[in-house]
Amino acid sequence: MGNTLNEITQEEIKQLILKTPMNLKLLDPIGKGGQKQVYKAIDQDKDNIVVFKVIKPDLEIERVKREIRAVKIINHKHIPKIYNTNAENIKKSEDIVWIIEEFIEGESLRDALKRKRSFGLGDIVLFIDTMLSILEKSEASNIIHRDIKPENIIIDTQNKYWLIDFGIARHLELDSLTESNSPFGPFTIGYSSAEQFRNRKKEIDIRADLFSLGVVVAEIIIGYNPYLRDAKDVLQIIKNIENQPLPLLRIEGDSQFLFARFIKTLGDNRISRRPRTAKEAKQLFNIVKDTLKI
Amino acid sequence: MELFLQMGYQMKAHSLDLLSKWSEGTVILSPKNMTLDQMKSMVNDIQQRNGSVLIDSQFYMPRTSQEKLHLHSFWPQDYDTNTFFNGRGIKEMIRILLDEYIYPLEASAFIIPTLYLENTNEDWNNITERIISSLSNFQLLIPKYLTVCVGEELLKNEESTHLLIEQLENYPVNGFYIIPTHPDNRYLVEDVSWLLNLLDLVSGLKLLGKKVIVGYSNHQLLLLSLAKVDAICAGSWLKTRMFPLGDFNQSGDEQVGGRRSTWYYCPQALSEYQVPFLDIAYRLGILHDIKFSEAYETEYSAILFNGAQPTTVNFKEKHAFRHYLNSLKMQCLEVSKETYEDTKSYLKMIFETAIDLTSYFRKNGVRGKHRDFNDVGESNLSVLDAFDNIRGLIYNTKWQKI
Repeated sequence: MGNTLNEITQEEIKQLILKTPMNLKLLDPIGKGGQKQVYKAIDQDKDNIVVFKVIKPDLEIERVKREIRAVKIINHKHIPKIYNTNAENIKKSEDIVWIIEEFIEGESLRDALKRKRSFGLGDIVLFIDTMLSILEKSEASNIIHRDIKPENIIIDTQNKYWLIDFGIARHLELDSLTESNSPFGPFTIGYSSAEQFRNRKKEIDIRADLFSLGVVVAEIIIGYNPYLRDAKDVLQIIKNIENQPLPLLRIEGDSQFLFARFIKTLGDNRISRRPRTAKEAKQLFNIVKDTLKI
Repeated sequence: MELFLQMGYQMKAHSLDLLSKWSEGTVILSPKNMTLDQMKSMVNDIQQRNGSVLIDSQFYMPRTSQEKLHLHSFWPQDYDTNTFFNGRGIKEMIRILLDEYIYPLEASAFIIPTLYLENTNEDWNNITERIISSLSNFQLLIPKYLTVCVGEELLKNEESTHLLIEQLENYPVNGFYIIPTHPDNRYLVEDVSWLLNLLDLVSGLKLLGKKVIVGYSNHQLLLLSLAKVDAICAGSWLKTRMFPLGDFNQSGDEQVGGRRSTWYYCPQALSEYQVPFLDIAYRLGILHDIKFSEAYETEYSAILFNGAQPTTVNFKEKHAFRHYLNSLKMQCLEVSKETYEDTKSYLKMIFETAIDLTSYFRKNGVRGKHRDFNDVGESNLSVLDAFDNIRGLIYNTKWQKI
């Protein structure tokens, strides 16, 4: 089969591997899009499994640079580390970016939900603790992930949680890459807050990530995304998010309903009702945790 | 939670009397009712009583407002929405307000004038941003509170209320002076959405660390203490206890409106009764149940309960106003508790007590007409629970820091 105009060829990938400082051998493909290919690979000198990403960013080179920058700045133990990266010009065509990053053995939260893995209260508490810890660091670095969803969360073999893909992260101290008069900002339907998908940039801050986190936690508990379920189309999902709060969840071990209210507060569709900062959310969660029977 | 006195028609004497009694207090001066010279004279009297003042320029509807407002020097002679806010107009108005009113009258804060907001819209946002940016020309050493005079439709709508909160988050001010327009011109509000959205608006701003004062209020808004509002404002006539939109959106002098009658405020019932209805209570031997409690004892209304038939005693309008404001002041002080849960429980208790009492009074023929809390009691209780559901967790944990 031939390649589309912007697709990265196998020949280009071979040449890129030669330009990396590691003695890489590609193993299995992990993901593939038109302009992005992701492989599991082995650093043959150190016998270390890594992720090898190649991206042909076209006009999106700034977004790719910002993704790399975000991961490096936040530098959290539950965000896979970037070992090496560079942009190469193969055959004098456009730049191709390669990234070598830490490989996390495990499955995505999406896959776990699909196979109906059960999550105990302890698992959920650990998940929230990990995510809030990441968000606290990203908040301190003025970065918003903007795409927290089950596909971007990895559960490793020790049942620890990792956040990946800062591809649409917003750096608050840098100019936005989305046009101000665009009716919609970059978002994933069903997980993004109204202020994010409405592209109300003045209001975008860490509370957008807290909203997404609230929705993901609700999905872990009830097994489905309440905003996506039974929605006929995108417009209905948008309407749901703008008009309906998350349901109050019944959670075993949460006899005082404080944990349920915490999740509802995190994922409140009204920005001013969410905790103002990730730090505040963490403090709130620490109080709520004490009331749980884990 | 404090009670500020909202100036209105014939309010001067009441204010000074109450400030003397309290030995402190804040009065919001109203240019609609006073000239600058009258204000100066009154400020002197207020300061002698250890009081302070704020000045609400009442610029909500500049095209149509009353002629008395037009006589003030800060009021623009040539007002045109298109050019006034783009040019030197607003800057000049603020300069005069500061130089001739705010500083000489030693106002404790600058209430920034803005236009009435019927419903959320970009024009209001743009104009308000221009007003705020024009403030950068002045070095202000006192806090700045932005006027947010909102229409009833906005406050009935959750989405609109939150769009407003999101907009207000952006303004570099120390606080907000909210003036809510009551739905259907009702003194006591039954509409739970309106009540909840107002409470939500106050809490959204309080959680930003801002000071929030709610103007033109009455005792029903004691419930705003749950959001830890800093102050509500009330005066004598109903027009100072609910925003008289009609007085500002049409020309003409202020009318007191309706037939004048004297009302007695029963604090424990959160209701007001015309004196002839107290005669019914007197005849049925339940007048003592309507009497204020010991803690509220004032010289203003004690005469009603001295054993004579209430309509035969010398209980006048001025006594009624002062008794109302003095009682409300004490209720404002009492309602603020150490914790969120205590405040919620206390509010629930006073609302339930008022419902029970008003039901009992009604059964005996004592009715408060449109000032009877029984008609809105369930709404107030409902709003307490709804607010607890949406904001309770954060309020519970942050109460001391709000």
